[in-house]
Amino acid sequence: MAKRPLGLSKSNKAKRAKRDQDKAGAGTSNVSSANNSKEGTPQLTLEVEEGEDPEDELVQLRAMWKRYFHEERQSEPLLNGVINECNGLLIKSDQDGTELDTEYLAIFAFALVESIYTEDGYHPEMHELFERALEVLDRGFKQNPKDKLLGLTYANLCFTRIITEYMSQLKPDSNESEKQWAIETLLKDAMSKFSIYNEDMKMTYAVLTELNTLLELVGHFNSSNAVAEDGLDSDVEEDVEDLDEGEEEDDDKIGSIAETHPLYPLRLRSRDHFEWGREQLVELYKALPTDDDIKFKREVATMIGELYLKKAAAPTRKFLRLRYDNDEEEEETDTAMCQEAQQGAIKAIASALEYLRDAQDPDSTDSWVAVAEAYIDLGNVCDNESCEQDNAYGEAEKLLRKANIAAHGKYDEVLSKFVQDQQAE
Amino acid sequence: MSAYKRNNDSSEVSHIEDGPATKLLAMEEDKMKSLFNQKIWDPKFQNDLEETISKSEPYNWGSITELVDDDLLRSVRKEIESEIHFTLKETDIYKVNQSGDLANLSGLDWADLSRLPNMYKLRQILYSEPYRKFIAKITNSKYLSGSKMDMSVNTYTKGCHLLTHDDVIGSRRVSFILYLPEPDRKWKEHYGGGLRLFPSVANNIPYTDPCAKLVPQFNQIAFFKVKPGYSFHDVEEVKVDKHRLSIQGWYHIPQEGEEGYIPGEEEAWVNNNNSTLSQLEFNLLQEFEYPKDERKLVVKEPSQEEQLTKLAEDLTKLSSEEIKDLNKYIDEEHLTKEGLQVLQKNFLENSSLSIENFLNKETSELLLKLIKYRELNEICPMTVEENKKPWETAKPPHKWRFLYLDENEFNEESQNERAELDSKLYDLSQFLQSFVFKKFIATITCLVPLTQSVIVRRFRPGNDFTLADKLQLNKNFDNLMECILEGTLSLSAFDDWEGGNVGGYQIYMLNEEDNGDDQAVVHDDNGESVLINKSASWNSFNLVLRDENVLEFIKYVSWGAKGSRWDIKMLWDVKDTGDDDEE
Repeated sequence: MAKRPLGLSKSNKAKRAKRDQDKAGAGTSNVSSANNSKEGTPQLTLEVEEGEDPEDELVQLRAMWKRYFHEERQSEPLLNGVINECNGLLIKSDQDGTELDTEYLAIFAFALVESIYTEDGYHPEMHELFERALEVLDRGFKQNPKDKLLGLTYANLCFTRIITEYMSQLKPDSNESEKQWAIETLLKDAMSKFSIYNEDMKMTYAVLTELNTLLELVGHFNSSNAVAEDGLDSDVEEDVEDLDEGEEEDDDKIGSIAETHPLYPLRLRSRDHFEWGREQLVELYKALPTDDDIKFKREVATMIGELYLKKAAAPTRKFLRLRYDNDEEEEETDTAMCQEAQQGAIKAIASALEYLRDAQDPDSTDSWVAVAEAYIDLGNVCDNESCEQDNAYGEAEKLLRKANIAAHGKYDEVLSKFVQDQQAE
Repeated sequence: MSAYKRNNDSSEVSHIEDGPATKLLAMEEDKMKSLFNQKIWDPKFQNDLEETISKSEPYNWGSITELVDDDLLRSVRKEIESEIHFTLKETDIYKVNQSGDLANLSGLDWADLSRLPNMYKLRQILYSEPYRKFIAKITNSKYLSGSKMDMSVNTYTKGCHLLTHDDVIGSRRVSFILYLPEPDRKWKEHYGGGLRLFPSVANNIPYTDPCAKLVPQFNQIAFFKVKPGYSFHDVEEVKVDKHRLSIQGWYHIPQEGEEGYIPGEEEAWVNNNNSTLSQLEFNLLQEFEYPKDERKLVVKEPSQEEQLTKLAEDLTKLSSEEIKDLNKYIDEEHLTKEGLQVLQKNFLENSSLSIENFLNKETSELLLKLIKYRELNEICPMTVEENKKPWETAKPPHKWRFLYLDENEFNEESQNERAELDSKLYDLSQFLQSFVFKKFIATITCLVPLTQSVIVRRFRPGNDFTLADKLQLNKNFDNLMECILEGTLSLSAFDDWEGGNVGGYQIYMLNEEDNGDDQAVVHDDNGESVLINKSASWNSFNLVLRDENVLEFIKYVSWGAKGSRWDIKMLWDVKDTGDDDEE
């Protein structure tokens, strides 16, 4: 006859009592204590690629790294496991006088850099960790200066180092020229050593995301305009307008930091850097296998689309200013510039649309709205009341309406404002 | 604890409740009056407002814009920002950032005053005699206590909310909320965070949807007379990344020594309110509750009970024909001998069981497609008026709110007119009510289900929840266990439920009523009162043998969720077949 089941609270009480009893008993004999400690050791089961030797140390390390990087990137114990494993192997190879595989060295260095981001912020010994990672990478570059994974790891180290070790120390009035040079050099070195590592596209993407974070931080340094978390919130724009009171935002203008500020050169050339990052992402996207993880492909395509929209921002502003705020006297000289800006904006937005459409997920209204936003941007730079403008706005409205139904009215405000604007025109 | 009367106010934990008036610093009346907008001292303004409030719907309430001196309130806001630490707290009824330090404000000493001087000043004027008399006049509330001060500071950030309640606790006579969102910015309606007021269909039964809403602005005060069984209101979820800061407070019945003090008045008021807790009234209120908590006797024949008992004692007794029938809906991996053994073992060990990939692939894929289609292409009805048959709205909203499939709407004639999703859900519900499914339940739980209730539910984002409720044991039949077997088949599409940020999770927790706090706190300090916390998910089936000491609720589904939580809730009264060895 089966055991009688207890009610949930009684069952829980019984389990707690048993657990307490076990705990109390654990200290009374060495044997049980030893057994408990053995049972308590977390066992990690790793999957290795087909045909690989599960006993091979590099195979094991690669599996552990992949598990950490692709599945449990928040797991500190797993990351520490990788670092400890690497450390042990490095000591052993030094003792044996053997050469270690560059893949292993790259994983070690990457893991050291990963450990700089902690739950509470940055690791207090980050300088030492960066230096240690550099030593490991140098060792690898000596073996193979053109190793792609080492190059990628080096680029990641530089991007992270600028953010954590340099930018976190900077104030709006900082003016150390040494730091300016160091930051510029790090970025330049990173870009020159970076290359797409086809064996692990997600890792490559993570490094390019780190660059994007860096460039966004540079752009917003000493800026009161917070980055909107929610995407399409009509009020973000309004709030910015309220704050600026009509002052035009222009990324050609570097108003808020001095020329002597360590970030000045980065901000000055941020458009080029964004462009460089975007080009790498496009290359990565093209190289993705057709049967690759669709979620990942959409993520990459979204980022490329957003970067194209960023590219379109400056010519869009220029076009709108020249077309709608122009003095009559300057009209003639500006016509060509206006057209050029318009063409530039349309081209960039068209590219953005291409990727954002690719990134559309039938289950994600946010992805539909991203396309709608791009259509609105496109309509804004088309000739007023032209067929192209009508088409663009029409597509945007169609998508917004569809998204609004699916998102239980989330875009009500945005949609009604958009429709009102259309009617006002 | 009753489902209808709870000490469910979010501010109960941290509030200022000061003692004798002698502690107050003296402030000259003129000076004090000058810190208010002068319009409130104008008799015409007062009379007009009094009339407006007396005619207001759904009950006596009102608001005043630009209430106090702008500089003072800005200074209060700065003090709050710099001196008060907020902690996010989440229970079945709310999610709100509560002030930690402010509770210590009672028994202020000079050191504390130096930390929050403007807050102190604000409290002083809000409880001053002229202002209390003004509030008493416009709300027609007789006298209000100046010594029993009761205030708290809360900030509602994105996702925060407070569900429907009537504010009736102790000697409260008037409730007020002074709003301090960011000054110089209009708080817009689509930010959420509105104060919504509910009409009542009967005493202590609020209507499902609110009929009035206040969109709060900086330096605006809203207030209402606390009316037991009628003053139902909620705080709409904040939908954007903004802080809706507010000071919440209450005016109480005059205390001994104060003007208007009537010996025994407070006790009579409290006793009268407590009497609404009585079982008699509770039973009356159940008339207004939908869907009805009815577990019908379905295993009526002794031979049926015998069959179930045999299965509960020996899982090999499930015939191949029965397994074939079960496999029409349930995935075959759970129907093999080994599969059944694993499920039974887990259930007997834990008194609960979670089965992933419960429905078979064909059923699961079809339902997923249909549910996604409805979510993405059809407008989700958010009010009773918008809702269409065969769906009904669960009520009253101080117990629960969700849509449920009314199975009475299904008959042979109507079957062809129903949307495919509704028909498929109905069919699935019928399967879950079938005798063969009860055989499956008996097999994996070693219990004999005798009664049943099966409800298909949809919890809409920004709208729906169930509050923690005690188990209502079935007293109609003999020999039942003092437990209920509960099953929940979660059919929630989309993937944003994990982590609980958008709510919709199901909690089973110990009822810690005896500690005097009957709120179901999700994140307690020792983490031991929550027994099961199960996120909404696709195609997972949870079974729990719930005893009287266990509360259960579905957390309010945030407006930010990608879609609704869909599930089918099953209840069975059960008979025990096991041996007596409870260890």
